[in-house]
Order: sequence, then structure tokens, then C-alpha cells
Amino acid sequence: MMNMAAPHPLLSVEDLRVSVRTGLGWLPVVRGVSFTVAPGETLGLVGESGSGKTVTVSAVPQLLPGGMRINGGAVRFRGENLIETSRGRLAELRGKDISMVFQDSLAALNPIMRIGKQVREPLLLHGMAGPQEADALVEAGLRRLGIADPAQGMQRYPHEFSGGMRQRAMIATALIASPGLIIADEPTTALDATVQAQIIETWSKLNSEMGVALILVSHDLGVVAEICDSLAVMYAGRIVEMGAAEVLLANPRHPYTQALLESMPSANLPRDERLKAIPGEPPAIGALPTGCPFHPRCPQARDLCRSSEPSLSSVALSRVACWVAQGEAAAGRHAPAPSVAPAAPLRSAPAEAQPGTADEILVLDRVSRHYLVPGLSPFARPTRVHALDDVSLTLRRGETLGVAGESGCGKSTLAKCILRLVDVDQGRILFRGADITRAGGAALRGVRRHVQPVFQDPYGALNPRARIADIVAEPLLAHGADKKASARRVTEVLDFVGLGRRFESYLPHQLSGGQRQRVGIARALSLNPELIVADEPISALDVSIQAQVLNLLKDLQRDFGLTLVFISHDLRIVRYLSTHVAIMFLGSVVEYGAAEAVCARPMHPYTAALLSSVPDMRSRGQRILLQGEPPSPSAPPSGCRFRTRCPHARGLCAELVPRLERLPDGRDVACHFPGIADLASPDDLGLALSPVQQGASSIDGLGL
Amino acid sequence: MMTVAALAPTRNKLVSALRGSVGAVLRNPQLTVSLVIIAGCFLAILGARFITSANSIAQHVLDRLQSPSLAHPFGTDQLGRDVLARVLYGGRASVPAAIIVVMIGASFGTLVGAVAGYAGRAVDEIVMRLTDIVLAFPILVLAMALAAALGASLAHGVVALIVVWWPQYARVCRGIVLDLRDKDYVTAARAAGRSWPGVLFQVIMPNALPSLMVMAAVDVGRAILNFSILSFLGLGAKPPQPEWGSMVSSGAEVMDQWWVATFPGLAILAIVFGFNLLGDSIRDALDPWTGNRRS
Amino acid sequence: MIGYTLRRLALLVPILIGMSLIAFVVSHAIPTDPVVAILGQQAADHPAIIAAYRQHWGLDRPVPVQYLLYLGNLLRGDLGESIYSHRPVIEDLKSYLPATIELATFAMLFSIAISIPLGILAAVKRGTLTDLVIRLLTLVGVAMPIFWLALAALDIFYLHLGIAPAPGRLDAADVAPATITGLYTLDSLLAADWGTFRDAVAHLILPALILATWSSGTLTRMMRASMLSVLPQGFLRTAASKGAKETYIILRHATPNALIPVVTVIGLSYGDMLTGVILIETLFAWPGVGHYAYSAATYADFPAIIGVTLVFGVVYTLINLGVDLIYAALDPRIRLAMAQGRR
Repeated sequence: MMNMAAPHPLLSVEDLRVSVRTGLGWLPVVRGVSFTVAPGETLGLVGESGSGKTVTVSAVPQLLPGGMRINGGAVRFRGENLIETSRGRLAELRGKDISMVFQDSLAALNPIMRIGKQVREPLLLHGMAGPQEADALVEAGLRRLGIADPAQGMQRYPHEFSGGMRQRAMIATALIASPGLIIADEPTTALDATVQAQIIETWSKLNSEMGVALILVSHDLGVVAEICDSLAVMYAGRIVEMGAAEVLLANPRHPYTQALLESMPSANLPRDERLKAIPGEPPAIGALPTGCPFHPRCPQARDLCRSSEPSLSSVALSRVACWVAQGEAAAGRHAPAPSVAPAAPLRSAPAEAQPGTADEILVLDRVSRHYLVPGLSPFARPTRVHALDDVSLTLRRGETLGVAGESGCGKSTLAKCILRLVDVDQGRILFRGADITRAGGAALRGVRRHVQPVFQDPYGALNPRARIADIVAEPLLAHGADKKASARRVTEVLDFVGLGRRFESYLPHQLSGGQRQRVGIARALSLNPELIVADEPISALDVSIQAQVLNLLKDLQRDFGLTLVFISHDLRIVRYLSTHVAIMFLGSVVEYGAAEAVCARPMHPYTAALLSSVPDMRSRGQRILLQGEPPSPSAPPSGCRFRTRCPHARGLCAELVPRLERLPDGRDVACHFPGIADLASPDDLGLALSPVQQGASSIDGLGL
Repeated sequence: MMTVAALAPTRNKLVSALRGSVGAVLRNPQLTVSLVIIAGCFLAILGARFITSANSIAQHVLDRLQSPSLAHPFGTDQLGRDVLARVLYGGRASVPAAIIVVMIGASFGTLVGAVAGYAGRAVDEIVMRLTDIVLAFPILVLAMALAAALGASLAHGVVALIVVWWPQYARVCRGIVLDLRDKDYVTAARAAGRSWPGVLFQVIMPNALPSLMVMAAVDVGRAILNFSILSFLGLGAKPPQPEWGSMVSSGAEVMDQWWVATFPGLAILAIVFGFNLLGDSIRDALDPWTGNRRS
Repeated sequence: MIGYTLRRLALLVPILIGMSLIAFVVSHAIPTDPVVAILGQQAADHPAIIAAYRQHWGLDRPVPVQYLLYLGNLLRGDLGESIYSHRPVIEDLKSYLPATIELATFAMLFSIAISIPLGILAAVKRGTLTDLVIRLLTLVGVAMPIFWLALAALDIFYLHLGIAPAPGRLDAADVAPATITGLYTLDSLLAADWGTFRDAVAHLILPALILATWSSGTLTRMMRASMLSVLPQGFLRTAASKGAKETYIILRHATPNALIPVVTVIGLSYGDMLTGVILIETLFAWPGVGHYAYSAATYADFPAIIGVTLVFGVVYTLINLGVDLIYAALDPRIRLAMAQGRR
């Protein structure tokens, strides 16, 4: 590395302004952003979608998407203003001095080019190495990023890599030419929790090893908090708060930052407490309110906030763009621990269902569902893949069953089986005591009348050609309600989910993501069903909107005694919303019991790892890192399916499939050594925490 | 919800401005041009007798092969017939025939494809193998065989083209249905308790129709072209009934009198071009709304 | 891959059976008695001759049996005898097919050479005058009545300007090269007969270019659309972030990806090409299968029509199989799907 004792920081962005071409003309998306990055520094840029964070960093190497232009400001890299630099010079800098890592690794890699060729491309483009020499460097680079067999991996195509491997290859590409600055745009967002934890760990390690400066863009404060020295929070095209990570997280000054920190359920938020959701939605481009753009959503807004927009100025150790915080600082008052929205306690704690007393709405009795995947040669036998393997669950009236697990664990298949959208191969499904496993015709319609879905993707879940009123009325009309009654009911449920009458005539594309998700929930509610099955209902939404929808679901539980199956990859949210949880891994339930108990003291090592893998902005704690990625469902390991990733696996685990066994506290665990994660000695923990890619064999040889 | 309330009208206005059909047509010069071409052709064909008083069939041997003049703007052919009149009346053969072919072929194919795509499995397999067979026939050869077997006439041409026309729609429609079948809103419709015809015809098909209609618009042009080929080869409309293809064919005998073959050829080119342009512009106009509008 | 090819070839069997069945049904739907048509009116006056003929060809058996007999003959390569040429149809096809293959191949090469660069150019210059001109040209190309274009071209380039040779495969003075492949260009090259080669190419250019009109339009539009769908993709931005320049990104990253869907269209537009062959061969006195099909249709020569239909069907299906294999070679994802039988 060059010695950077020069007066210049590595990168300095000064009053950057970017606008986008729309049907209404050029509208500003970045409205005067300034920050600096010192050599080796890690800066986290946080904001919701539309805040301008991605546009800001794309403007650094002058790689703005089409239809955008820079209106003003400067981007100085080692003193050179990149906005005024020639194209040729920019091409020289990109990949060599400034490189990028993108969110969607599948889209960011050329699908028909081998991984090795893509990783070495910067070296060849900049004439830094010949092909042979470059390949050697690529191999070393991939190995450093924990790709087990780099020589073989280089010959693969992107689709043959898992998501985590692709992201590692992307990072290797960004590092290959030893740049001074890496810009990573949501590098872990598309990944599973345990894989995200690995990548975060890799970043932290690389950063300290290589001294490369990093700008990390994310919507997730937790991820950023894990990695970064300093943080900048963006809202409506501007930085609203900036400072050292510890300071900003411990003592946020801007009401928006405060609200972001409090809008997600923490590991120990009581279940009967509402989330402090930020009301409303971020302003759309071109529809900025006057004054501070956050004021319509801000509980502390005053007259000044409505008329004039604050700029960043120092408040204590941070820099904040907020009249309230600045005013308090000037007045010498210490900002009180602010409360964003009065956290209304629930009117009554939801009645905890007493086992055996409440009636059983849904029973899954040893349900299995498999798919046949054709073999590689036309003569080979198709492989049987278990999407669901021997799953038994019980749900009583008023309870919420949370189902958590990573992609491919079978949680969505479970939802489809309950909804009778796919058939089960073995086992029984009982609904209100009646066997509906093979129900068809009128019987199936009867089930549909009482079991309704809520989907993950608010864009895909609404018919783009139907008006909102018709979408919500769909289940009503399908079950023979008359037009008048159904129109009344539509108004009623839309009102309940917080959408007024005027939305009834809208088309889905006229609504925001959060509004669409409310429509989806209203549709599910319209028949007043006994059971709602919600598959990842908040994961496609912005952080501040997630909290609103979670509160809505809480209200439903409270006001209607709704029985809910809530599926999510985020165990903390599951815990907050559910009475019971089922943790799934590769088609089986590995732990099942009362939500509080399971999350407070997980007994299965996978539950423990899943809990610790969610980045927590409040505690940069140590976490349990799992080996590799979930094994392929078509070729599961022998014995315990989790054993290849388990830090505590032993000989027995490879031989015997653990069955779900009832523990004294009433929960079921499928592990030969329940509670081992708790019992493990600090030494073992240390080993488990050591770098991601230890071969499974070294773990096997551990022997406790 | 303050901001939302403030925002909605803006979004609403933007959308309705883009969606308002009249506004969209005027804003889209390509669509305007294509509609002008097609409307012009239709008006000329329908109002032929207001444009020329000449008879398209009556022969005036004394006036044979006259070059374009005021009396005969497009000249006359070997039998002294007015070429302008023959071009105008000639459209009355192939244009309605082409529309019939596309309407019947597209409806039947769409229906078959929709059912095959939604039902899947055996039904799908049978339909796809059947379309494989028909698609493997070159359109013209099959039409020629049918025309030769049944005798050359416009009606037989229509039958022949319908037979080879539907499979493309079946395939395209099946593909779209397969794609839409797994969308969450279709799943939602099933979970809501709709019957399968309800899901297929009330939820899936309205979303599939726009692209099929683009295809149909382009196809009217293709069908006109195919009719002109059939009659150029002597397998379409019977003389003396004027038809563009057969007019080009007879014009080929007198290439030095360029006008005899040139004008019917131009007529084919213009109207087929118009339909292609129409399909193109509808596709452009639909794209932002039907494509993946994510992020 | 081999498994996939075999599966696809196996699919050819039901297609051929289906096609032959349709062809058989069509030929039996003729109102006129084929026997009379074949033997002529004189023979038709002698019932004994007719009966003998019917018995000889199995025409006195029930129709399904007739079809099976016909299918049996088909399997032996016997397509019957042409009414018009009085030769076995298979012999006729053998002698005419190479000329058609030569013409269609040249036309396809021309249209690929024209459309790929034009499509890339239009996409890269989207929304500019260049793009508009290219798009209008492709629309004209797709809408072109090529029989009309062929007449005009012959009139201008042959009759008036005299820069194009007379219709046909060679000048009257030239002797066809010894048959190896049946393609005059290839055969004359193999025989190192440069004069004949030059003459064969000169005769090919005009008909092949006109035959290429439709597919050039289709392929250019497809290439443009495909390129436009590739251009916003993330991996091009990745390439730019690595320091690649625009030309490099377009040629090395965008174009190979954009070509993949275009390849499948090449196979589909071969169907249009076979339609065009009938017109172009007829107008350019090109002794190929298309010309043969035209005269067969004019004389209601059903054995010949069925023969042509089957040959075109086989050619079309094989070309599309080939195209799908190229598709797989270009795209590793498709390769995987094919190997797993998902396609």
C-alpha cells in the first residue's frame, strides 16, 4: 500500500447532487451529500430504499445507472475530481484503485463466463498480469476468501456456485488488483442468515488484514454496525446523521436514526409490547415535503422543521441534520431518551393458550412431501428430494406458530401444504378435527373459506389488472357473498389495515410496497378466516414499514384472537410474534416448543446458531459460525442432516438420525446432544468461532 | 399517513396521463403513424368507389397497358383494366380473409394453449406434440397441398392457413400461462376458493391477453402476406377477381410496363408494414406495465 | 448431452408419423381419382387396367391398411412415383435438395452477417436516428412481398443493368462440377475450378439476398431486443467497475449473452426460409425442391407434394435440433437443464 500520510483523505465526496429523469422532468435523488473516507477506514451508509444511498456510491466511480446525471459537487479520489476526469482515466481507476461488490451476485456475474475468467478480468484489463500469472493470483485470492477447492471453482459457472460462494467470488474480484477503496452495495442482503454471518466475518477479517478502505451500503443497521468504524444515515437524498459507529449507535441524535434503531424487535422485547414504528412512508422522489423531509413522520417536529431544512452540524460527537437535536445542543440540554411514537401497551395480553384446553385448529401429523428430480443421465433413476420430512405440529385457537429456517428448509412448502396448494405424500393434515389431507371439491372450498394466505412479495401477490376493492373481495365473491355485503366488508377490512376508501379504486402499481402488503392482509382477512398462513410477510419491506406491518399483525392477534402461522427467516421476529416456534432444517423440524423458552435457551445447535447469526446493532457480540452452506436436499448427509454444519458433531451424529424427543420443559428437540451449544466449554466455542472455512474433517476430529 | 395522502394524487395523475389511451396515442408517434397507415388502407379499400369510378373487372382491350395518367392514375393492365381499381378492390379479398384467419386461429390456439398450460401433464404433452407436428410443416407447403387438393379458391386458402396458424398461439399462450401460473396472485386466487376455470379465465388470461394481442396485430400482416403468396402462385383467389398477389404475378409477364406489378406490390408492403408497426408500438407501450416492474 | 440428442431424435419419429398421416389424409381428400390422374384418361376407360393398378398399389384395401402400406414404403425410402416426372419421388428429391440447401444456407449466412451487427448497433444507439432507421428497415424487410422484390430485382439488375447473371445456378456455358456434395460452390472449390466457383457464387448472390430479406428483418429485431434486455443487466456494470471500456463490454460481455436467444430464432426463421425458397426458386429458375414443390402443386402431383412436405419437415426439425444444441453449447445453464431432462 501507498503511504497515505498526505493531507488528502482517500476519498472525499463534496456536496454531491444527482438527479433522475422521470415523467415529471429531472428530479433530485441525491441532494448534497458530503463525506470522507480515510485510507483503511470502513464507512457504513445506511438508509431505506429510495434514500439515495446506492446512487451516492454509484456516483463515486461514475457508474450511475442510465437516466441519472450528476448536477453538482465533487468526488475527489486521492485529490483527483472524478466528475471531471476523462473516461479513459476512469477506466484506469476502476477495478485497480476503486472496485465494487454488488448485491445480487447472480445478476452481477456474467452467466456464461467461467468464474476464474471473471475474477481475473481486472488484472488483464489493467495489464497487471498475463493470463497464467493472473490465474495463480485468482487461485490464491479465492482460497483466501474461503473457497475450498479454488482450482476447480475457477472452472465453474456462476449458477453452479451457491449464493455465498458467488458473493465470495465477487469479493475476490474486487480485491484481486489490491485497490485502495472497495464499495460494497448490500453485499449480504440476498444471503441466508448463517451465510451472511460468515460473509460479515470475512469482511471484518479482510479489512483488518489488508487495510483496504470500504464503503458498505446497507438497509440493515445491524450488518453495518458489525463491520464499520463510522456510519452515515441517509434519508430522502441526504445524510441526516453521521459519526463514529459506537457513538451513533449508543446515542443516536436524529429522530429517524432513533426510530430505525427501535423499530425492530430486539432479542428481549416483551411479546405484549408494540413496536415503535415510524408512521407513514418515506417521501417519493419529487414529492419532498417542505422543510425537513422527515418532519411528517417525526413526533418531535416543530414549526421550524416544517419551513426550513436543517443541514448537518456537530452535535456532541456526531453530526446531525435536525433542528430539534441542534436546538437542544445549543440550549445545553441533554437530549432525553426520545420516544418516537408512544408505544401503546396492548390493551390486554393475548391469552396464552393453555395446552389441552383450547381447541386444536390445525394438526399436522407426520407430514411428508417430496419431489422427484431427474437424474443426470437419461437412464439414471430420479432422486427423491424431501421438501418436508415427517413434520408434526399442532396449533390451537389464538396461538401463533412461528416457523423459522433458511432458504430450502421447507418452510414455504409447509405453508403450501397447510393451504392445500400442494398435496402431501404421507401423513395427515387435520383442520378443526377433520382430515383435510385429500379434501377436494366442496370440502376443499370449505377449507379455503377458513384458511387464507399472506404472501412475501407484495408486488407479485396482487393481480396487476384488478382494482384493490376487487382484489380484497376476491375470496368473498368466490364463496358466494353478494356484491353489497362484500363491498361493505371490503371497506371494513381495508379500514382495519389502515387503508381508506379511496384506495378501493386504485390499481396495485399505484400503491407502495407497504400499502400492497396491507391489501394482501386485508384480502386474507375478508372472509374472517380461522387461520392465516403468512409466508415471510415482511421480508420484502423497508425497515420502517416492517415495524408497521408487524404491529398490524399484533393488533390482529389481539383484536380477533387470530390464529396465525408466521414463516420467517428471522428468528427474532418470529419470537416476538409467536407463541410457539418450529425451527426447520432441510425439511425437518429440529426444535419445536414455546417461543420464549426456545429462544431464551435454544437446545438445538442450529437454533443457537440461527439466533446468534442475526446481526444486532446493539451488541457486537460473538456469534456462532456454521460451516459452509446448507447441504443439497437431494443429497443430504447420513445421520443427522445438520451434522456437516454442526460445530459439535460427533461420530454418533453421522450414524443415527436423531428423532424429535420431548424434553422436560415440554419442547421437542431432534439432537443427540440437546443443549450442547450451552454446555460447550469456552475453548470449543473459540474453535467454533474461528474462521469460516475450516474443513469439516478438522471439526470431526475435535472430539469433545 | 400524511405523506401517502399527499402523494397518491401525484402518482395517480402520472399514471392516468400515461394510461389515457388518447394521450398515449398522441404521445407515441410510431403508434400514430401505424394507425394512420392501417386506417388509410382500410378507408381506401372500403371506399374504393369514391376514389375511382373505374371497374376492376371490366376489360377494355383498346386501353391495354397504358402508363399512369389522370384517367388511370396507376395505368392499365394487359386486359385494359384500371390498376388503381384493381388494387383497391383487391384488398377486399385478402384483408378480410387474413382477419378471419387470425381471429379463428388465434382464438382456437389461445384456448388450447391456455388449457394445456394450466392443466399440464398429459394434456400439455399431447397438445405440444401436436403443435410440433403442425409447426414442422412449412406453412406454404401445407397450404399449397390443401389448395391443390381442394381446388384453388380464397375459402380453401383460409381453411389451409387456419390449420397452420393456431399452433403458434397455442405455444405462446401456453408459455405465458406457465409463467403466470406460479405467480403469487394466481396462488392467492386459488386459495381464495376460485374454481379452476375462474382462475384460468378470470385471473390468468386477462394478464396474458395483451401480449397475445400484439402477436395478433402483427399476424394480420403476416396472413395478408401469405394470402398474396398463395395467389401469386395461382392457389388463391380465382381470376378475374382482383387479388394483389395474382396481380403481381400477371404483372411479371409485362415487366417493361412496370406499373402493372409495382402498385399491387406496394399495397401489400404498405398494409403489412402498417400492421407490423402497430404491433411494435403496442409492444413498446405495454412493456413498462407488463414487464418485471420490480425495485 | 448425448442423451438429450437421442431424446430429441426420438421425438422426430412421432413428428414424422403425424406428418405422414396428415399428408396421407390430405392426399386422400382429393375429389379427383388419383389413379385416373396417374394413368391418364385412356387407361381410365379400361376398368381392368385400373383394377390391376389398384391391386398393385394396394388401393383396393381399406384406408387404414393403405396408410400402413404407405408407411411401410416410407420406411424403405419409397415415396412413390411422381405423376409429373414419372420418376420415383425420392430420386427427384435427391437431385433437387442440394440446390435448395445451397441457396438457403447462403441466405441464412447473409442474414446473420447483416442482422447481428445491425441489431447490436440499433440497441447500443437506442432512441437515436440510427436506431429508428434500422427499425424501420427491419419492419420493411419483414413486410416485404419477396416475390415482388425478386421480380423487381431481376428486372433492374439482370434485364436493365445487366450486372446480375441470368436466372439459374450457372451460366449456360458452364458445366456443373462433378457431384460430391451437390452444392456447386463447394464442389467447384473441391475441384479447384475457380471459374465455375465464381460463376456459381455470382448466380447465388441475388436470390440468396432476396431470400434473406425476411430472416434479416426478424433476426435484426430479435438481436436488438435481446441486446436491449442484456444491456441493463448487472454483470455489465460489474465489468465496467473492473475498468473495462464500452466497446469491450459490448463485444465481450453483452453480445455473447444477447446472441443466445437469437440462435433459437435462427431455427424458427428457417421455416420462413423454406416458404421463401418456393417463391425464389420458381422466379430464379433454381432447380431445387421449392421449384419442384411449385410444379407439383400446379399439377396436383400428390406423391411429390407429400415427399416435399416430409423433406421440409425433417429439414426443419433437424435444423431446430441443431440450433438447440448450439444453444446449449453457448449457455452452460441450458446445458445443465438439458442434462437433467428439464428441457
